[in-house]
Amino acid sequence: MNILLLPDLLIILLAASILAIDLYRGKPQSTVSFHMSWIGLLVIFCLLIILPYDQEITYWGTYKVTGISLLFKQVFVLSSLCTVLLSAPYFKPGGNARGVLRYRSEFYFIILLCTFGMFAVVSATGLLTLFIGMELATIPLYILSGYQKEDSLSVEAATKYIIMGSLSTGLLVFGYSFLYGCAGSLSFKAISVFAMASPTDPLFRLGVLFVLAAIGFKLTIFPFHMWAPDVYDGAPTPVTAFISVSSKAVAIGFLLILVYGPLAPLHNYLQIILLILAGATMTVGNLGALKQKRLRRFMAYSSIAQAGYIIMAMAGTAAAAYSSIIYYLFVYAAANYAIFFIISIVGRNGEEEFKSLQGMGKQNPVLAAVLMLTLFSLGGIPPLAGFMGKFLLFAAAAERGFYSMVIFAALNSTISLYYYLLLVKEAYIIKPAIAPRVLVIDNIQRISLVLLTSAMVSLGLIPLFSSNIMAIVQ
Amino acid sequence: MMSDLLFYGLVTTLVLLSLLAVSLPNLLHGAIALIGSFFATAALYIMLQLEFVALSQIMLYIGGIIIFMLIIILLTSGLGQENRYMVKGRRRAAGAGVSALLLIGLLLTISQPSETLQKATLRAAPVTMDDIGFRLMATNKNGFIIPFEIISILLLVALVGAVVIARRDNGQEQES
Repeated sequence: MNILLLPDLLIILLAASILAIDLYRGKPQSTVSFHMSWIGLLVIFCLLIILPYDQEITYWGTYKVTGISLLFKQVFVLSSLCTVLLSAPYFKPGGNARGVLRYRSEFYFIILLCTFGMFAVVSATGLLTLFIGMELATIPLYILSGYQKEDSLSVEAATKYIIMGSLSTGLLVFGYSFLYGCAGSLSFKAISVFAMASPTDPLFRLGVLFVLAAIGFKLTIFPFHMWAPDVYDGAPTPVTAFISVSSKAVAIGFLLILVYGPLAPLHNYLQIILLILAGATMTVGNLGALKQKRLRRFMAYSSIAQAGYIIMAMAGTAAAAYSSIIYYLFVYAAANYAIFFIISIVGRNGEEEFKSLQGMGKQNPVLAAVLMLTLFSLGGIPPLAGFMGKFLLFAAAAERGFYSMVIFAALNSTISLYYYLLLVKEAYIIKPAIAPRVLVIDNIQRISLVLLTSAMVSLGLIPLFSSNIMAIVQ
Repeated sequence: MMSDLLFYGLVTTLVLLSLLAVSLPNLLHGAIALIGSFFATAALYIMLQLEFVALSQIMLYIGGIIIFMLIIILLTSGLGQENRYMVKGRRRAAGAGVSALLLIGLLLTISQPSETLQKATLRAAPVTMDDIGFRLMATNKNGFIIPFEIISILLLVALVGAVVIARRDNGQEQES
């Protein structure tokens, strides 16, 4: 039964053929690579849905495909599909006020292989695959965030990202060396055996803390979050969206695999650390978002806060944490991409700022309504998907009796509602000082927004989806 | 006995060259001293029968990182330019204090035998290059074929990215 490996192979094949076609028949303005990417990703996603989820196969001894890893792959493929669709206007002259991006097929090639790196992370059975997969999921992002070469902000973002990223990689390897030294092997099984035998070994715990700090950078956990606003603001918008969803999802997958895999005997000890980090992260993210005026920077802080909620669920049992977090990732991805699509519409002929939203309620009521729905979903208002997602996350922590933490998170959620509503106010209430620019929406953006909005509503209303995930996890 | 002499000789060279690397006023000379200290480290590895580590030390550090540093020196300051900074006495004392603290800490930690460390050291028996090569390409549960293959993809992405970032755009492409 080799069909379970098909998505991984197809995505490499797709990337290779995009590059090959560009090499032999490429013209700078050709959109062949764009159409190939989104059709290919759509095919891979359909394939992922029909694959059997109740099997567990290990390829070549070290590459394991399970139902959970397939669920994560769904998130990654959906996210890169949205990024590809989102990036379409950015390669056209006049598609964005910041200037035209170039090297279209290389962009998709990098995105696709980055996604493959994420696949490798969730399929790993050893520290080495985990590490290299993580690198393949991050190094392309440094390149992508500097894609707007003429823009000094973009160059600054790439520089900051690469420096912070290298630092975190260094910490990760350092932590691994302790784990390897203790267990004597890189495989999860050996580490698990060691953790079971001597969970209080100081060297081992030191290694775990290093790994936690390193992944904190990727996941933008406080106090490792300070790079996020600058990178999110500087990178081209499709890349920002990709970083905010895919990169976060892969870091969470990485953490879940470690915390509930080889480090499961330490869970009681890690629980407290994770909860403290979660509390601090959501507070910092929420307070930071209050004062932002630029949309991408605002989204950076919002996603820091969301990372806090997600980490909180890791205090729960394995089944609860996996199911609630994977479900939330779908919800979060839908809402985030909807916002970024709206940002790309606003950014077509203006700055991507709060001010550019003014007058949207009069000029394009449907778009403004979509914006409002999305923000409500991010804030967690029923009956939208965001409420259901947050409910499951909070329930995972409450199951283990961390009620005070849940109350704290709920309070934080209220703060977040305030600043999400600020955007709604900007779109509906504040009268624009100058006549608002005409918003042009192309077909790709319209269809994507319709799909994302219906996903947001139906994910929250129809319980089938979340119960499906729970069934697969258990 | 002979190996002891060799060891102390190598270690002295290593310390001297490392000191030179951080204290020479000319950056280029410092880099060359660093090459020497890396060679001495590689020699130490060979004494421990770790041929693979010695080889990768030479290939990675001397072949890669030093070349990288030389290019950085070339791009940022003129080659052969001397940089002399006056360091104040108080700074010097503070630096010495921190170093002394680190030294004491290290000595204290190393002199207390840790069981885990000892066990880990025992397990790391000498391996031959053949073992490493076979294990790298093995497809059983001890093999590293998957990471090995993923690294090739990573390198490809990095190469494509480097070309995209470094390529000088001529305005033509934009117009057409």
